[in-house]
Amino acid sequence: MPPTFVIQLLQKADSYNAFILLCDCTMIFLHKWKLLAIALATNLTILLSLAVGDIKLWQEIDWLDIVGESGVCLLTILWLAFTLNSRPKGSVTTLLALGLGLIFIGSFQDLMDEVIAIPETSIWRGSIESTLMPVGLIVLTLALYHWHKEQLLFSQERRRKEQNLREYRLQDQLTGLGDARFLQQQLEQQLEHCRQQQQPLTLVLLDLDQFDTINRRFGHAEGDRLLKELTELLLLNLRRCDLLCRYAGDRFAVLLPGAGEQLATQLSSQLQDAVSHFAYKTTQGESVYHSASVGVATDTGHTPESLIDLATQRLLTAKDSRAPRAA
Amino acid sequence: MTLWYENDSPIIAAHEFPAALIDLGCSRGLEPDKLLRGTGIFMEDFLSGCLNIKPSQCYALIRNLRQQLPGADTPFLAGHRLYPGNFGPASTALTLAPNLLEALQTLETYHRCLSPLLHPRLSVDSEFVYLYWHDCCDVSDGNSFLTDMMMTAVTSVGRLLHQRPLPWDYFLHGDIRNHEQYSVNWGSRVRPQQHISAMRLPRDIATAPSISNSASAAIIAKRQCQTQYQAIPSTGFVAHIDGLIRASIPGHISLESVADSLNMSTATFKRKLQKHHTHFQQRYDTVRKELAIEWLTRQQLDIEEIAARLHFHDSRNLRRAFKRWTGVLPSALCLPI
Repeated sequence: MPPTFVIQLLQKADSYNAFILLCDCTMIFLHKWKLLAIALATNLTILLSLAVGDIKLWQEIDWLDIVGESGVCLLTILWLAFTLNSRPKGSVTTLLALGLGLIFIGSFQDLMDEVIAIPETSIWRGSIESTLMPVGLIVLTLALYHWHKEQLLFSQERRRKEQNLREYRLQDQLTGLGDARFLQQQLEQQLEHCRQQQQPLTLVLLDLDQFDTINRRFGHAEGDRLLKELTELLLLNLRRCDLLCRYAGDRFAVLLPGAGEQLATQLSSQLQDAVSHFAYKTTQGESVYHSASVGVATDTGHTPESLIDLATQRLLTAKDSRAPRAA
Repeated sequence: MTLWYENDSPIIAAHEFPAALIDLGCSRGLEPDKLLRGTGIFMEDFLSGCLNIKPSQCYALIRNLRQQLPGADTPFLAGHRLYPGNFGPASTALTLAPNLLEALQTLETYHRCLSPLLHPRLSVDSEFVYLYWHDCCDVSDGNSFLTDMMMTAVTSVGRLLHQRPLPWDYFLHGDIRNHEQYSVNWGSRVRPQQHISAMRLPRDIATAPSISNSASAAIIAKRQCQTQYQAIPSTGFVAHIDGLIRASIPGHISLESVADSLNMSTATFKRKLQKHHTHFQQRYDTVRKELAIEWLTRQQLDIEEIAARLHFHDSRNLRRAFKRWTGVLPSALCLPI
């Protein structure tokens, strides 16, 4: 479980992204209270040092130490500025600011020691920097750890969004099923998978008989609604491992992994029965019954295209035997 | 009276052909205002039932529809919904025709209202009935939306008249991308890469009596069409020019002679062609290509004969031109279709 504040932050993910776009140069102004608190704490340490100690004489000052310690001090404040300028408000940011702030105050106190002599007996001598520094480092480490987790969650979220977008294109708008291209893709994967597992794979194409007369008699809106309801009906009659796609128009495709010719024939006649027992109600309340024809093709070393072609061919033959076509 | 309409002539009744497109969009949940954006059509005017729009507005409507309903099935859905539609007596003449051939003749004669953007041309021989589709007022930008839609509409009329799918053969210009849509809507006899847009049906099926046989209603509807559409230009400018060129072959034809027969100066003629995004040489080449394909595949004329009819110096020149028009040599299309 990620910490709750990370989740909260994630919920704000969109506003976060928008925020970055809007104000990526001026984000430091969001953190004025944090900066003010750090400045105040620094002032306090100066006052404290002055209260307990005396300013050193010029000859007592070690200039090399001053240069080294002020360098650390300046760099810390630079890190703080860079970090805060690239972060929105939030718990991870507060942790980062706290860690860097503590390190800054610790190193500043170190610098103070060089110019203010604090008596050996005072409890303040050396205690501030030696507590603030390690605590600051620990807080910073914690903050960086959460920052990393936050980034992982963000990238996961982004990946999920992209996947949705990609699959959206392979989806039929009306029924929400996969479309013919999705079927093609799945068929390729399943063919390979089932061959590896030494399992049979069967493709069933199912087509409504006389769908165009429904459209003509009741209008295309009814036809669309019928397709949607039929989708749910077919889904209810499938096994969990089966895949239903809308091939095109009133033709559906069912991919049956693990089903040989016999099982597939059985399953597809179940589908046909379900369709013929389905009393579709038009908006006027009229019941309309349908029948469906199927074409079953079991993989015997086919390419995806030839398997679809074979199923189509058998479907058309089945349709012809129901309602003979012209020669 | 002019004999043709141009892409800015307001001659398409909005409640006829465009209504099918608008209704499709609305039934799929598109906002009418968004669908009509940039077309210059307003929903209130459209609903008034007496708005006439220009072909260019109709093209804009199709562009919006394609953009907002990008599914591969959009042209087919539009085609299925087009007829009988709201075309007055023409609808009746189509759907009550005593046989399919008469329905196709109605379509050809009154295509100004039934198919204002694509010109259907009927051609009958001893075995087959051919229906060719030509650009009407704008040279298509290589998309097959209109041909897919119109061929589906005709397929749908055939199915309506005979209450069963008919064994049409389809010939398409380019490659097909959504194989499944063609397979479900048209059947398996679809041939891509034929460099023409045409469909073909055995003649005996086209002349077989249809199921909805109510002869008197069909005759009356045809009469009504005759009086209603008498005074209106019947064909698009580009199709009209193509027709003139086609009629004059194997005689000689030139930009000047066509401009002459239209009673306009060559400059005006050129400007009008440009307005329809084409030029004379392109029209001439297109017609010659279509004729060459027709002669090669239907009459199986030999190359020398075709070259002579199309005014090529010899068959080598024709081969080279053919390759330029279609990307393949005539021999690749020689097989009878």
